[in-house]
Amino acid sequence: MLRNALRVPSGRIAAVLLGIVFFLAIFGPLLAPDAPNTTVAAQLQGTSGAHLLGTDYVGRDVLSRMLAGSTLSVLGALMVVVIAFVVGAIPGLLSVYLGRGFEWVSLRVVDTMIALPFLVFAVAMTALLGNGVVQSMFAVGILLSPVFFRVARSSALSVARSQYVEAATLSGASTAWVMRKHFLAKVLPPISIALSTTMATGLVVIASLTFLGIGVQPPTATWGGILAADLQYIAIQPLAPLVPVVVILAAVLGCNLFADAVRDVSGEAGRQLLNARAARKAGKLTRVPRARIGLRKGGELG
Amino acid sequence: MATVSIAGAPSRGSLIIQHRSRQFAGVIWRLLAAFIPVFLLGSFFTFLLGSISGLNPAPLQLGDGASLSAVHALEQKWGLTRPFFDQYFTWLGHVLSGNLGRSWANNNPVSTLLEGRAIITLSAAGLALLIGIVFGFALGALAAKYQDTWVDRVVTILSATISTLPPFIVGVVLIDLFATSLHLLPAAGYVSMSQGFGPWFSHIILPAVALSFDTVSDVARQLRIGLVSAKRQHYVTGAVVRGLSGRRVFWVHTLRNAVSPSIAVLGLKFPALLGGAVVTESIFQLSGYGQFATQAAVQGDVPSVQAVLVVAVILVVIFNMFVNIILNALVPSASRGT
Amino acid sequence: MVDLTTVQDEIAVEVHDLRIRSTVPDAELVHGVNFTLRRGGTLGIVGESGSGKTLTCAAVLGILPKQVERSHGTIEIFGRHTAGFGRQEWVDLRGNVISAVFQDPGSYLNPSIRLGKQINEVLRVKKGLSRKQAKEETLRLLSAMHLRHPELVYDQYAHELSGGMLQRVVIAAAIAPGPKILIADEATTALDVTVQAEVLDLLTELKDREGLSLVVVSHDLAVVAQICDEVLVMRSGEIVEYGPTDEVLHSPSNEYTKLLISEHERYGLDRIIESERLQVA
Repeated sequence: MLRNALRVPSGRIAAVLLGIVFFLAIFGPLLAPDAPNTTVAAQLQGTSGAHLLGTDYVGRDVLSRMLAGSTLSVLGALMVVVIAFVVGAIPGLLSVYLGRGFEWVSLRVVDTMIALPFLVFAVAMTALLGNGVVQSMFAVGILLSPVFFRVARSSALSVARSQYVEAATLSGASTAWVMRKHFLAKVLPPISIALSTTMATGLVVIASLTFLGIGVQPPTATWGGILAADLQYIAIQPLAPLVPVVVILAAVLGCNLFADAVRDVSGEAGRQLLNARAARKAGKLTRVPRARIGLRKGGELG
Repeated sequence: MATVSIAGAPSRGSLIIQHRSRQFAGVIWRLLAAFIPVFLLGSFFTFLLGSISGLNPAPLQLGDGASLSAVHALEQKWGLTRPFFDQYFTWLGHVLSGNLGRSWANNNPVSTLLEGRAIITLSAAGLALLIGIVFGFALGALAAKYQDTWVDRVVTILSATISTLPPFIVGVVLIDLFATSLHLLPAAGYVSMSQGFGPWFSHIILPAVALSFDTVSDVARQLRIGLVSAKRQHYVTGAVVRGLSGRRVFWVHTLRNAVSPSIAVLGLKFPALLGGAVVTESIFQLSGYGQFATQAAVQGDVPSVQAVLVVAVILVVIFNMFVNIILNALVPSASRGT
Repeated sequence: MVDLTTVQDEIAVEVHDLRIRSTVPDAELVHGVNFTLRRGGTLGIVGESGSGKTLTCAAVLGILPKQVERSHGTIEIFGRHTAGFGRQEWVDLRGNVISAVFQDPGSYLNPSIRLGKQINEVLRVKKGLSRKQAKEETLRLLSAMHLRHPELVYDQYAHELSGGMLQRVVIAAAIAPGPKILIADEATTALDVTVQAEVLDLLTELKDREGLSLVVVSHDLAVVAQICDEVLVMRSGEIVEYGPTDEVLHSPSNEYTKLLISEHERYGLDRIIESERLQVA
């Protein structure tokens, strides 16, 4: 599936963007020319040779701060996704197999969670539970889990009802084996999509929380925190906020494009799209055929 | 009106009325059944959060270094030593009767603290909703009318891009553009309507636009889908064949059935709008609801936070019920078959 | 509004060498159709799916779908060529001069608006009636359709009625503005046999009372045989037989027609003959 996703342009762009983002997250701090938390030069300088992105209001090198901040921002989002997955997918699966009572209760809980204004809750949860990084990740992870609940549940439902399971169970295979083999194949696309969109949301939420100063205290560098500081001095350095903005957007865009790519290449429509593209490349078609309504409607035009 | 009456049987007219009121009651019942659990769960979760936090009024009211016995006495005074469910139900009862508790930070009733701020937040969120509806509809209708042409494609891509832009980023860019660079609009603050529409508008427009992007995009997408599907329906042909003009067919028949997905999506967007307000208020320095929540959370002022959360839940529930009622009025066939 | 009262009223619809083709993919669907419908006459069009009968009617009504167009020939409605009609001319023509009812009547009504209101709409827009007048006229129409409780139907939604009742409502909406031509495209398909007969009787009654010219399209020869003076048999976009009903039914010249008739003798016409006999008795 990943290979297929890379065949569409959106997938390729996504791969590039995400590659850069993860690279920054892992190697960022190592690449920083200056220490991110120490004053190294005069305040609020514009770009220059020594400081590619200028300096901030304390005199710290912006580039170093951005690089250092990548780790926290990106890995924080990643943790959020993992937590959301675990908190959501497990009950989601269980809701199919544990009987009506559990199912009803878990569905109601999920409905409620979707209905809540979730940034407000994220702020409240993080702050009230100790205002630390870990709390913020857990809070956001829990609040974002409904997506995974639904994906896990619908995957489990579709597999439970499919004929593979019947056939396999008839031939005496254990439930665990059945689940493992057929489950994964059918379920990978929607889960990948959920993972990427949650990652995108996670990035935005972590940035929002750090922007508000919740969960992470200054002087720790985060993309959101840098943006918040930049906002204060926007009159002096109007272009400064654009740096974290572009970076955050690029990361979010990468995730969303990946989700789009997976969406485009999976399922029946996906197979058609890929075949058509391959045929076009080989010079066999002049344009990608699309299903046209019109004449195929049978009795209407008979 | 000619009504045939069989002896003892109700007239046809009153039968219709009975049928209609039963349908309406059914709708209301169903709405309540769907939303009451949400409210209860939401309020329970809110209260639980406060309890789990293990916070107490001491840091705010007694300062650091207060003796354990003083802290304990304070806790008792605030009823925090009572069993959990005891506290929960008392609190819930208070909430339902309008008492939102007292802030630990300053002992004031939270409801008073929230009063003025609510207007600010609701102005921004309300205007954002309005912008979302107007522009979302316009874009969606445009895309549907010129379906499959470049207009459609541009609008679709545009709205897809817009939906990924988080409100606080848009806010920052807007400030940079309109306030700092072009000096067209103020960057911060709130001016109430009593000082004139112009000032109010110029202060609230940027936050509202920042909040609205997500809504515009979703409404546009849903309307396009709804219109594209409605256009193909037979009842459109029926109306055309009866000689009704294109405009009438569109506004009275097509649109009416096409708007339901986009109106439904508004219900889903409202929580996002409230949530987005939290950050936008910080960027634009609006002393609204969201900012209050943040401050209170950071301070550890549990009752205030709980009040804010539960009010948010109530607002979402009410808004959704409202949306459902409108949907039902527009497209009654949605209520059949349940 | 265009005044069509002064035109010829002998010939309602005249179609001459009509060809219809689709643009994507490029193919001719109807290969030269000719027929004439006189004022007060009933024309039946018989054919299977794909015969081109519905396309022909769509062309007469001006509602051909997007990628289908008239490539040749003329259609005259009361002497006016409709080839060059603009949007407004079609709007003026439809309802006032020509209207149609189709299969699955419920789907041709707006599911979210009460039925009475939809008929009112036609009356108020096309005939300029006031709200009160429209309501009275709608109720009158509904009872003229032999609906037993017009006031009830007035307030109901489409999904609350049966197929037969819905078809009557749709017919009422179609004839409300007083058209001279009514096209019934498979209007009785998917209705029960008895209801079918009732609807056909209703159409005949309208023809007799209001001088309506009818075009009845069906794949069912029996339906056409029951009420039409003339029959057109279509196959693969062409007319294979055209003439007075008696002639076509009893001495068909075309093989395909003969096939249709013999099949119907086994399944269809007997019922009509049977029910006619019962009515007389």
